[in-house]
Amino acid sequence: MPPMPFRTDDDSDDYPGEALSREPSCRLVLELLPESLAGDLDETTTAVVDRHLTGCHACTREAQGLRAAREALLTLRGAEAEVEDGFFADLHRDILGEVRHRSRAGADRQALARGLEEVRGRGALLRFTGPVLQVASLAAALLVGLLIGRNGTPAEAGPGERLAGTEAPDDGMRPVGNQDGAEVRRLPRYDFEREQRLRVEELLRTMLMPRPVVPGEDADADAGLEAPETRGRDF
Amino acid sequence: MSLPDRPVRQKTYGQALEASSQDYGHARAPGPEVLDAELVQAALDGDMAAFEGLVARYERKAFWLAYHMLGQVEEARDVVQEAFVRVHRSLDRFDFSKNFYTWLYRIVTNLAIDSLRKLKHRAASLEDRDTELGEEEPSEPSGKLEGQELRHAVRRVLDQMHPRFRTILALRDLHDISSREIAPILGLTFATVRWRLHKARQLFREAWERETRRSQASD
Repeated sequence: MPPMPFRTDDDSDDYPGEALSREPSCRLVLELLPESLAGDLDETTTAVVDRHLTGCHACTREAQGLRAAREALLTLRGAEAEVEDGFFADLHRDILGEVRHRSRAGADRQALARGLEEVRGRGALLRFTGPVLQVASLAAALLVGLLIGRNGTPAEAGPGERLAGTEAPDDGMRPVGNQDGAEVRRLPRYDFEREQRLRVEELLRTMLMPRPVVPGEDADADAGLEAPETRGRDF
Repeated sequence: MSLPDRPVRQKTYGQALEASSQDYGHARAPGPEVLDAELVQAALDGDMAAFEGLVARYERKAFWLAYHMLGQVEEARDVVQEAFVRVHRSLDRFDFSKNFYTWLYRIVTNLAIDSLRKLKHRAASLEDRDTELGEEEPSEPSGKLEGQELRHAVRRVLDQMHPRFRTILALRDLHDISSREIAPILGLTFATVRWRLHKARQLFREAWERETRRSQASD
Protein backbone atom coordinates (compact mmCIF):
# COMPACT_ATOMS: atom_id res chain seq x y z
CA MET A 1 0.00 0.00 0.00
CA PRO A 2 1.82 3.15 -1.16
CA PRO A 3 1.63 6.20 1.07
CA MET A 4 -0.57 8.97 -0.22
CA PRO A 5 1.44 12.04 -1.28
CA PHE A 6 -0.51 14.66 0.60
CA ARG A 7 -0.49 16.23 3.97
CA THR A 8 -3.14 16.20 6.60
CA ASP A 9 -3.60 17.93 9.90
CA ASP A 10 -3.02 14.57 11.51
CA ASP A 11 0.36 13.85 9.99
CA SER A 12 1.95 17.13 8.97
CA ASP A 13 5.30 15.81 10.20
CA ASP A 14 5.11 12.73 7.99
CA TYR A 15 4.51 14.48 4.69
CA PRO A 16 6.63 17.58 4.08
CA GLY A 17 4.51 18.64 1.11
CA GLU A 18 7.27 19.36 -1.38
CA ALA A 19 5.22 17.42 -3.93
CA LEU A 20 2.75 20.33 -3.97
CA SER A 21 5.31 23.08 -4.53
CA ARG A 22 4.36 23.08 -8.22
CA GLU A 23 0.91 22.96 -9.84
CA PRO A 24 -0.65 19.57 -9.06
CA SER A 25 -2.07 17.31 -11.73
CA CYS A 26 -5.79 16.50 -11.94
CA ARG A 27 -5.01 12.95 -10.83
CA LEU A 28 -3.37 14.16 -7.64
CA VAL A 29 -6.20 16.64 -6.94
CA LEU A 30 -8.80 13.93 -7.38
CA GLU A 31 -6.88 11.89 -4.84
CA LEU A 32 -6.87 14.80 -2.43
CA LEU A 33 -10.47 15.91 -2.87
CA PRO A 34 -12.19 13.68 -0.24
CA GLU A 35 -9.71 14.70 2.43
CA SER A 36 -9.85 18.31 1.35
CA LEU A 37 -13.63 18.41 1.68
CA ALA A 38 -13.46 16.67 5.04
CA GLY A 39 -10.99 19.25 6.29
CA ASP A 40 -8.31 16.68 6.86
CA LEU A 41 -5.63 18.55 4.87
CA ASP A 42 -3.45 21.35 6.10
CA GLU A 43 -4.13 24.91 4.95
CA THR A 44 -1.39 25.01 2.32
CA THR A 45 -2.50 21.83 0.59
CA THR A 46 -6.16 22.84 0.79
CA ALA A 47 -5.31 26.18 -0.86
CA VAL A 48 -3.48 24.41 -3.67
CA VAL A 49 -6.45 22.12 -4.29
CA ASP A 50 -8.90 25.01 -4.23
CA ARG A 51 -6.77 26.99 -6.69
CA HIS A 52 -6.78 24.00 -9.05
CA LEU A 53 -10.56 23.66 -8.81
CA THR A 54 -11.13 27.26 -9.90
CA GLY A 55 -9.53 26.56 -13.24
CA CYS A 56 -10.54 22.90 -13.86
CA HIS A 57 -14.18 22.12 -14.69
CA ALA A 58 -13.72 18.35 -14.59
CA CYS A 59 -12.28 18.40 -11.09
CA THR A 60 -14.95 20.89 -10.01
CA ARG A 61 -17.72 18.52 -11.11
CA GLU A 62 -15.99 15.75 -9.23
CA ALA A 63 -15.77 17.96 -6.17
CA GLN A 64 -19.50 18.76 -6.37
CA GLY A 65 -20.36 15.07 -6.41
CA LEU A 66 -18.13 14.39 -3.43
CA ARG A 67 -19.54 17.34 -1.53
CA ALA A 68 -23.11 16.18 -2.12
CA ALA A 69 -22.27 12.69 -0.88
CA ARG A 70 -20.56 14.06 2.19
CA GLU A 71 -23.44 16.38 3.02
CA ALA A 72 -25.83 13.46 2.72
CA LEU A 73 -23.68 11.34 5.01
CA LEU A 74 -23.52 14.08 7.63
CA THR A 75 -27.31 14.19 7.87
CA LEU A 76 -27.01 11.06 10.00
CA ARG A 77 -25.54 13.25 12.71
CA GLY A 78 -29.00 14.65 13.20
CA ALA A 79 -30.56 11.26 13.73
CA GLU A 80 -31.41 12.09 17.34
CA ALA A 81 -34.94 12.80 16.21
CA GLU A 82 -35.33 9.10 15.46
CA VAL A 83 -35.32 8.05 19.10
CA GLU A 84 -38.21 8.66 21.41
CA ASP A 85 -38.23 11.02 24.34
CA GLY A 86 -36.78 9.41 27.43
CA PHE A 87 -34.83 6.94 25.33
CA PHE A 88 -31.50 7.81 26.93
CA ALA A 89 -32.97 7.84 30.42
CA ASP A 90 -34.14 4.27 29.82
CA LEU A 91 -30.81 3.35 28.28
CA HIS A 92 -28.92 4.76 31.26
CA ARG A 93 -31.11 2.87 33.71
CA ASP A 94 -30.87 -0.35 31.71
CA ILE A 95 -27.08 -0.16 31.41
CA LEU A 96 -26.60 0.32 35.14
CA GLY A 97 -29.19 -2.32 35.95
CA GLU A 98 -27.50 -4.83 33.68
CA VAL A 99 -24.08 -3.98 35.08
CA ARG A 100 -25.29 -4.50 38.63
CA HIS A 101 -27.10 -7.69 37.73
CA ARG A 102 -24.10 -9.17 35.92
CA SER A 103 -21.81 -7.99 38.68
CA ARG A 104 -23.88 -9.85 41.28
CA ALA A 105 -24.11 -12.88 39.02
CA GLY A 106 -20.35 -12.75 38.56
CA ALA A 107 -19.82 -12.58 42.31
CA ASP A 108 -22.14 -15.56 42.76
CA ARG A 109 -20.25 -17.47 40.10
CA GLN A 110 -16.96 -16.68 41.80
CA ALA A 111 -18.33 -17.85 45.14
CA LEU A 112 -19.58 -21.03 43.48
CA ALA A 113 -16.22 -21.55 41.82
CA ARG A 114 -14.46 -21.11 45.16
CA GLY A 115 -16.83 -23.62 46.74
CA LEU A 116 -16.20 -26.09 43.95
CA GLU A 117 -12.47 -25.66 44.35
CA GLU A 118 -12.81 -26.38 48.04
CA VAL A 119 -14.87 -29.48 47.35
CA ARG A 120 -12.35 -30.56 44.74
CA GLY A 121 -9.62 -30.15 47.34
CA ARG A 122 -11.49 -32.42 49.73
CA GLY A 123 -12.09 -34.83 46.90
CA ALA A 124 -8.37 -35.00 46.27
CA LEU A 125 -7.83 -35.89 49.94
CA LEU A 126 -10.47 -38.60 49.69
CA ARG A 127 -8.89 -39.93 46.52
CA PHE A 128 -5.61 -40.25 48.41
CA THR A 129 -6.98 -41.75 51.63
CA GLY A 130 -9.63 -43.94 49.99
CA PRO A 131 -7.34 -46.80 48.85
CA VAL A 132 -5.55 -46.77 52.19
CA LEU A 133 -8.84 -47.17 54.03
CA GLN A 134 -9.92 -49.93 51.67
CA VAL A 135 -6.71 -51.91 52.25
CA ALA A 136 -6.97 -51.43 56.01
CA SER A 137 -10.58 -52.66 55.99
CA LEU A 138 -9.63 -55.72 53.95
CA ALA A 139 -6.74 -56.52 56.30
CA ALA A 140 -9.00 -56.20 59.35
CA ALA A 141 -11.58 -58.51 57.76
CA LEU A 142 -8.90 -61.11 57.01
CA LEU A 143 -7.59 -60.90 60.56
CA VAL A 144 -11.05 -61.44 62.05
CA GLY A 145 -11.59 -64.34 59.67
CA LEU A 146 -8.33 -65.96 60.74
CA LEU A 147 -9.13 -65.58 64.42
CA ILE A 148 -12.54 -67.16 63.94
CA GLY A 149 -11.00 -69.97 61.91
CA ARG A 150 -8.52 -70.77 64.65
CA ASN A 151 -11.24 -70.93 67.30
CA GLY A 152 -13.27 -73.35 65.19
CA THR A 153 -16.78 -73.21 63.88
CA PRO A 154 -19.79 -75.49 64.26
CA ALA A 155 -19.44 -76.55 60.66
CA GLU A 156 -16.10 -78.11 61.42
CA ALA A 157 -17.43 -80.28 64.20
CA GLY A 158 -17.56 -83.95 63.27
CA PRO A 159 -20.49 -86.26 63.81
CA GLY A 160 -20.76 -87.44 67.37
CA GLU A 161 -18.33 -84.81 68.64
CA ARG A 162 -19.40 -82.55 71.33
CA LEU A 163 -18.73 -78.91 70.95
CA ALA A 164 -17.89 -76.68 73.83
CA GLY A 165 -20.94 -74.91 75.11
CA THR A 166 -23.46 -77.26 73.53
CA GLU A 167 -26.08 -78.57 75.89
CA ALA A 168 -26.86 -81.99 74.49
CA PRO A 169 -24.47 -84.54 72.96
CA ASP A 170 -24.71 -84.91 69.22
CA ASP A 171 -26.11 -88.36 68.52
CA GLY A 172 -25.61 -88.02 64.81
CA MET A 173 -29.36 -87.76 64.20
CA ARG A 174 -30.54 -85.02 61.85
CA PRO A 175 -34.13 -83.66 61.60
CA VAL A 176 -35.79 -84.70 58.34
CA GLY A 177 -39.38 -83.54 58.92
CA ASN A 178 -42.45 -83.64 61.13
CA GLN A 179 -45.00 -86.36 61.62
CA ASP A 180 -48.05 -85.96 63.86
CA GLY A 181 -46.48 -82.93 65.48
CA ALA A 182 -43.30 -84.73 66.42
CA GLU A 183 -39.95 -84.07 64.87
CA VAL A 184 -38.57 -86.98 62.90
CA ARG A 185 -34.81 -87.45 63.17
CA ARG A 186 -32.66 -89.95 61.30
CA LEU A 187 -29.07 -90.79 60.99
CA PRO A 188 -27.45 -89.36 57.89
CA ARG A 189 -26.96 -91.74 54.98
CA TYR A 190 -24.04 -94.04 55.60
CA ASP A 191 -21.09 -93.10 53.40
CA PHE A 192 -19.54 -96.46 52.66
CA GLU A 193 -16.81 -95.19 50.36
CA ARG A 194 -15.65 -92.61 52.82
CA GLU A 195 -15.57 -95.15 55.61
CA GLN A 196 -13.55 -97.57 53.50
CA ARG A 197 -11.08 -94.85 52.52
CA LEU A 198 -10.56 -93.86 56.11
CA ARG A 199 -9.95 -97.45 57.11
CA VAL A 200 -7.39 -97.94 54.33
CA GLU A 201 -5.58 -94.78 55.28
CA GLU A 202 -5.50 -95.83 58.89
CA LEU A 203 -4.17 -99.25 57.97
CA LEU A 204 -1.44 -97.82 55.78
CA ARG A 205 -0.37 -95.39 58.48
CA THR A 206 -0.18 -98.20 60.98
CA MET A 207 1.86 -100.38 58.62
CA LEU A 208 4.31 -97.68 57.61
CA MET A 209 4.82 -96.37 61.15
CA PRO A 210 5.03 -99.44 63.38
CA ARG A 211 4.66 -98.82 67.04
CA PRO A 212 7.68 -99.68 69.23
CA VAL A 213 7.41 -103.11 70.74
CA VAL A 214 6.63 -103.04 74.44
CA PRO A 215 7.42 -106.28 76.31
CA GLY A 216 4.35 -108.04 77.73
CA GLU A 217 1.85 -106.26 75.51
CA ASP A 218 -0.98 -108.14 73.81
CA ALA A 219 0.17 -109.75 70.57
CA ASP A 220 -3.01 -108.91 68.70
CA ALA A 221 -2.62 -105.32 69.66
CA ASP A 222 0.96 -105.44 68.44
CA ALA A 223 -0.20 -106.68 65.10
CA GLY A 224 -1.95 -103.32 64.67
CA LEU A 225 -5.07 -104.66 63.02
CA GLU A 226 -7.05 -101.95 64.69
CA ALA A 227 -5.60 -98.66 65.65
CA PRO A 228 -6.28 -97.73 69.25
CA GLU A 229 -7.64 -94.31 68.28
CA THR A 230 -10.26 -95.93 66.09
CA ARG A 231 -11.61 -98.14 68.80
CA GLY A 232 -14.97 -97.25 70.01
CA ARG A 233 -15.36 -94.67 67.27
CA ASP A 234 -18.93 -93.99 66.65
CA PHE A 235 -19.77 -94.33 62.97
CA MET B 1 8.61 -0.29 28.92
CA SER B 2 7.27 1.06 32.16
CA LEU B 3 3.72 2.21 32.34
CA PRO B 4 2.90 5.51 34.03
CA ASP B 5 1.62 5.38 37.55
CA ARG B 6 -2.05 5.35 38.07
CA PRO B 7 -3.44 8.79 38.86
CA VAL B 8 -3.72 9.62 42.51
CA ARG B 9 -7.31 10.17 43.42
CA GLN B 10 -7.45 13.53 45.12
CA LYS B 11 -11.18 13.82 45.64
CA THR B 12 -14.16 11.58 45.55
CA TYR B 13 -16.34 11.39 42.52
CA GLY B 14 -19.19 12.84 44.54
CA GLN B 15 -17.11 15.92 45.37
CA ALA B 16 -16.08 16.33 41.77
CA LEU B 17 -19.68 15.95 40.67
CA GLU B 18 -20.74 18.70 43.01
CA ALA B 19 -18.01 20.94 41.68
CA SER B 20 -18.95 20.61 38.04
CA SER B 21 -21.31 18.38 36.19
CA GLN B 22 -23.38 18.21 33.08
CA ASP B 23 -27.02 17.48 33.74
CA TYR B 24 -28.69 15.23 31.18
CA GLY B 25 -31.92 15.09 33.16
CA HIS B 26 -31.71 11.40 33.96
CA ALA B 27 -28.02 11.34 34.82
CA ARG B 28 -25.31 13.79 35.71
CA ALA B 29 -22.04 13.37 33.89
CA PRO B 30 -18.95 14.68 35.67
CA GLY B 31 -17.43 17.91 34.50
CA PRO B 32 -14.47 18.00 32.14
CA GLU B 33 -11.97 18.58 34.95
CA VAL B 34 -12.65 15.07 36.23
CA LEU B 35 -10.48 12.78 34.16
CA ASP B 36 -11.73 9.48 32.84
CA ALA B 37 -8.80 7.76 34.51
CA GLU B 38 -9.86 9.15 37.87
CA LEU B 39 -13.34 7.78 37.38
CA VAL B 40 -11.96 4.40 36.35
CA GLN B 41 -9.73 4.31 39.42
CA ALA B 42 -12.64 5.26 41.67
CA ALA B 43 -14.82 2.60 40.05
CA LEU B 44 -12.05 0.08 40.65
CA ASP B 45 -12.12 1.10 44.30
CA GLY B 46 -15.77 0.15 44.37
CA ASP B 47 -17.31 3.59 43.81
CA MET B 48 -20.35 2.76 41.68
CA ALA B 49 -21.18 6.47 41.34
CA ALA B 50 -17.90 6.90 39.48
CA PHE B 51 -18.86 4.20 37.04
CA GLU B 52 -22.23 5.87 36.61
CA GLY B 53 -20.31 9.00 35.75
CA LEU B 54 -18.47 7.17 32.98
CA VAL B 55 -21.75 5.80 31.67
CA ALA B 56 -23.38 9.21 31.73
CA ARG B 57 -20.41 10.73 29.95
CA TYR B 58 -20.17 8.22 27.11
CA GLU B 59 -23.48 6.40 26.71
CA ARG B 60 -24.81 8.76 24.06
CA LYS B 61 -21.64 8.80 22.00
CA ALA B 62 -21.35 5.03 22.26
CA PHE B 63 -24.97 4.58 21.28
CA TRP B 64 -24.73 6.81 18.21
CA LEU B 65 -21.54 5.13 17.10
CA ALA B 66 -23.24 1.74 17.33
CA TYR B 67 -26.35 3.10 15.65
CA HIS B 68 -24.39 4.62 12.78
CA MET B 69 -22.73 1.28 12.22
CA LEU B 70 -25.83 -0.85 12.61
CA GLY B 71 -28.71 1.37 11.59
CA GLN B 72 -31.04 -0.27 14.10
CA VAL B 73 -31.97 1.30 17.40
CA GLU B 74 -32.55 -1.87 19.37
CA GLU B 75 -29.40 -3.56 18.10
CA ALA B 76 -27.37 -0.45 18.93
CA ARG B 77 -28.94 -0.33 22.37
CA ASP B 78 -27.98 -3.94 23.07
CA VAL B 79 -24.45 -3.32 21.85
CA VAL B 80 -23.97 -0.32 24.13
CA GLN B 81 -25.40 -2.13 27.12
CA GLU B 82 -23.12 -5.09 26.56
CA ALA B 83 -20.15 -2.79 25.99
CA PHE B 84 -20.56 -1.12 29.37
CA VAL B 85 -21.05 -4.47 31.08
CA ARG B 86 -17.74 -5.62 29.58
CA VAL B 87 -16.05 -2.39 30.55
CA HIS B 88 -17.19 -2.80 34.14
CA ARG B 89 -16.09 -6.42 34.19
CA SER B 90 -12.66 -5.60 32.77
CA LEU B 91 -11.89 -2.38 34.61
CA ASP B 92 -8.92 -4.01 36.30
CA ARG B 93 -7.38 -4.58 32.87
CA PHE B 94 -7.71 -0.96 31.79
CA ASP B 95 -4.43 0.49 30.58
CA PHE B 96 -4.10 3.84 32.30
CA SER B 97 -1.64 5.00 29.68
CA LYS B 98 -4.45 4.95 27.07
CA ASN B 99 -7.64 6.93 26.66
CA PHE B 100 -10.76 5.44 28.19
CA TYR B 101 -12.96 6.31 25.23
CA THR B 102 -10.52 4.63 22.84
CA TRP B 103 -10.95 1.46 24.86
CA LEU B 104 -14.74 1.87 25.03
CA TYR B 105 -15.08 2.62 21.32
CA ARG B 106 -12.99 -0.39 20.47
CA ILE B 107 -15.34 -2.61 22.47
CA VAL B 108 -18.36 -0.94 20.89
CA THR B 109 -17.06 -1.32 17.33
CA ASN B 110 -16.11 -4.96 17.86
CA LEU B 111 -19.52 -5.75 19.32
CA ALA B 112 -21.23 -3.84 16.52
CA ILE B 113 -19.27 -5.77 13.87
CA ASP B 114 -20.27 -9.03 15.57
CA SER B 115 -23.86 -7.83 15.57
CA LEU B 116 -23.61 -6.94 11.89
CA ARG B 117 -22.53 -10.49 11.11
CA LYS B 118 -25.51 -11.84 13.01
CA LEU B 119 -27.81 -9.42 11.22
CA LYS B 120 -26.40 -10.54 7.92
CA HIS B 121 -27.19 -14.12 8.81
CA ARG B 122 -30.68 -13.13 9.78
CA ALA B 123 -31.01 -11.30 6.47
CA ALA B 124 -32.99 -8.51 8.01
CA SER B 125 -34.89 -6.74 5.32
CA LEU B 126 -34.72 -3.02 4.77
CA GLU B 127 -38.49 -2.87 5.08
CA ASP B 128 -38.26 -4.06 8.68
CA ARG B 129 -35.88 -1.26 9.52
CA ASP B 130 -38.08 1.30 7.81
CA THR B 131 -40.97 0.05 9.87
CA GLU B 132 -38.93 0.40 13.02
CA LEU B 133 -37.92 3.97 12.32
CA GLY B 134 -41.28 5.03 10.96
CA GLU B 135 -42.85 5.17 7.55
CA GLU B 136 -40.97 7.03 4.85
CA GLU B 137 -42.32 10.37 3.87
CA PRO B 138 -43.53 10.66 0.28
CA SER B 139 -40.87 11.85 -2.15
CA GLU B 140 -40.71 15.49 -3.08
CA PRO B 141 -41.93 16.27 -6.59
CA SER B 142 -38.51 17.58 -7.48
CA GLY B 143 -36.97 14.22 -6.68
CA LYS B 144 -34.76 15.78 -4.03
CA LEU B 145 -34.36 13.72 -0.87
CA GLU B 146 -34.92 15.53 2.39
CA GLY B 147 -35.26 14.93 6.10
CA GLN B 148 -35.90 11.43 7.31
CA GLU B 149 -36.18 10.10 3.78
CA LEU B 150 -32.72 11.41 3.05
CA ARG B 151 -31.35 9.70 6.16
CA HIS B 152 -32.99 6.44 5.17
CA ALA B 153 -31.41 6.68 1.77
CA VAL B 154 -28.01 7.32 3.33
CA ARG B 155 -28.63 4.37 5.62
CA ARG B 156 -29.36 2.14 2.64
CA VAL B 157 -26.11 3.20 1.03
CA LEU B 158 -24.15 2.53 4.20
CA ASP B 159 -25.78 -0.87 4.55
CA GLN B 160 -24.42 -1.83 1.16
CA MET B 161 -20.88 -1.08 2.24
CA HIS B 162 -18.53 -3.50 3.88
CA PRO B 163 -18.52 -3.16 7.70
CA ARG B 164 -14.87 -2.09 7.72
CA PHE B 165 -15.63 0.92 5.49
CA ARG B 166 -18.86 1.67 7.29
CA THR B 167 -17.05 1.65 10.62
CA ILE B 168 -14.32 4.01 9.57
CA LEU B 169 -16.78 6.46 8.00
CA ALA B 170 -18.81 6.48 11.21
CA LEU B 171 -15.75 7.08 13.36
CA ARG B 172 -14.13 9.77 11.25
CA ASP B 173 -16.92 11.63 9.48
CA LEU B 174 -19.81 11.18 11.90
CA HIS B 175 -17.94 11.22 15.21
CA ASP B 176 -14.97 13.44 14.33
CA ILE B 177 -12.42 11.04 15.74
CA SER B 178 -9.03 11.70 14.20
CA SER B 179 -7.22 9.10 12.13
CA ARG B 180 -4.55 8.81 14.79
CA GLU B 181 -7.19 7.99 17.40
CA ILE B 182 -9.01 5.60 15.08
CA ALA B 183 -5.87 3.51 14.61
CA PRO B 184 -5.85 2.02 18.15
CA ILE B 185 -9.63 1.71 18.17
CA LEU B 186 -9.59 -0.51 15.10
CA GLY B 187 -6.22 -2.06 15.83
CA LEU B 188 -4.76 -0.72 12.59
CA THR B 189 -1.74 1.31 11.65
CA PHE B 190 -2.17 4.99 10.93
CA ALA B 191 -1.34 4.49 7.25
CA THR B 192 -3.97 1.74 6.94
CA VAL B 193 -6.57 3.95 8.56
CA ARG B 194 -5.89 6.74 6.06
CA TRP B 195 -5.99 4.39 3.09
CA ARG B 196 -9.18 2.76 4.29
CA LEU B 197 -10.80 6.12 4.96
CA HIS B 198 -9.87 7.34 1.49
CA LYS B 199 -11.32 4.20 -0.04
CA ALA B 200 -14.48 4.37 2.09
CA ARG B 201 -15.21 7.93 1.01
CA GLN B 202 -14.78 7.02 -2.64
CA LEU B 203 -17.04 3.99 -2.28
CA PHE B 204 -19.68 5.98 -0.44
CA ARG B 205 -19.67 8.68 -3.08
CA GLU B 206 -20.13 6.13 -5.89
CA ALA B 207 -22.90 4.31 -4.02
CA TRP B 208 -24.61 7.57 -3.15
CA GLU B 209 -24.68 8.67 -6.77
CA ARG B 210 -26.26 5.36 -7.72
CA GLU B 211 -28.84 5.83 -4.96
CA THR B 212 -29.78 9.33 -6.09
CA ARG B 213 -30.04 8.20 -9.71
CA ARG B 214 -32.29 5.34 -8.63
CA SER B 215 -34.43 7.71 -6.56
CA GLN B 216 -34.79 10.15 -9.44
CA ALA B 217 -35.67 7.35 -11.85
CA SER B 218 -38.41 6.08 -9.53
CA ASP B 219 -39.92 9.59 -9.41
